[in-house]
Amino acid sequence: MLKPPWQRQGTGRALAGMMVLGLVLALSATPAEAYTTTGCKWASSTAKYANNTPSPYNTAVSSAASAWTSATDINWVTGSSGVVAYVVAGNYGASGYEGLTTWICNWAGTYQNLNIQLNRHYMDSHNAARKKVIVMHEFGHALGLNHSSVSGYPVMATSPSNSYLNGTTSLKPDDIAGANFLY
Amino acid sequence: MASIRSSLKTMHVRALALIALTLCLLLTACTSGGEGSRAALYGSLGELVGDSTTVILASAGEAESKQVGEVRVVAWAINVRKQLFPPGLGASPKEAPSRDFRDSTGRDVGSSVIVWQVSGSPAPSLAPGKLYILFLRPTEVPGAGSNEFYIVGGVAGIYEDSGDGTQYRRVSTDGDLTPELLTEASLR
Repeated sequence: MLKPPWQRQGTGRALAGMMVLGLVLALSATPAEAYTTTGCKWASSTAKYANNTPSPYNTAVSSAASAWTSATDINWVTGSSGVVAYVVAGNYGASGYEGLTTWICNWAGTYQNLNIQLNRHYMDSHNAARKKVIVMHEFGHALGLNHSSVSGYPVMATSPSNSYLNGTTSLKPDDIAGANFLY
Repeated sequence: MASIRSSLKTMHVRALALIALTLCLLLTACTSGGEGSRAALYGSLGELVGDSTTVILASAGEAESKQVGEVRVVAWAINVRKQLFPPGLGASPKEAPSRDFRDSTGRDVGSSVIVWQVSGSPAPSLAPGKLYILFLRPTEVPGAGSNEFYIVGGVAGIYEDSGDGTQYRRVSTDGDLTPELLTEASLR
């Protein structure tokens, strides 16, 4: 039996309400604190870096670049022309930061300049695996990823050393999803 | 030889960055940014104090950019109003103008100290004239002055005046589990 108009309208409203509720629930099911981005990125999925670090940092840098390249759609290559991320290591003291990535990007959000500084004050005493996690973190910034507060100790957590000390030695799904979202 | 080569590379990188920034600013609208890897996150006020050699109540003055050894920093002149840590050294300079403030390593804190922030670091810049509780430790950079300090944890050791001059708000949003608000009494 056909319902009167006011009842049909009510059914429609209820249906619309359920759809809105479903949409809200679907959106809220997305992890709210997953990877975030800086707003800058490379023009293509090929990113260049110059490894200007001494041994054993040069090994950590190569390993970190390879880790991103093999696990995601980004392709880190060494190069010296065009836009290049320069990686250096030095004693920057007890600044509170083991690594620092700084960048300049243009109006379109494309990198024009990138520098990665590895702080030997902290990192000299770290083993190879811990160095690599910190360098992977800095390369993540150099891809355009910001810090992630998702659980599971991703490489892109605020303190990659803390992630390493909690068992992280390789990129986590949230790190990979972030890179693949960008490229 | 290796260190000379490393210094030359660093200078080369800085020169390129400067050229890129200048060109970028001339040709188009640019943005710059920085992010870093925190060496440690602090789980409590005790941990933060444990990494500090001195904690001061102070106001920020002028800042200058300078190169010390391999690091480029923004160096802030900080006027110490009161030293809150180590215990027993806390006193107002008004009460004891000639008091020789020293940190837990014996380093002279004085009534004015220099506080560094690494250029490009993600820590928010201090604001001239604003009151802070600052957790400090020596820079440990060769060539740094005896009265120059870093803020512990980059940003973790900054608490800014919440407006009433009695409560200081944590600036860090990095996930440190230190108290959101501090008073002078919190450190006694």
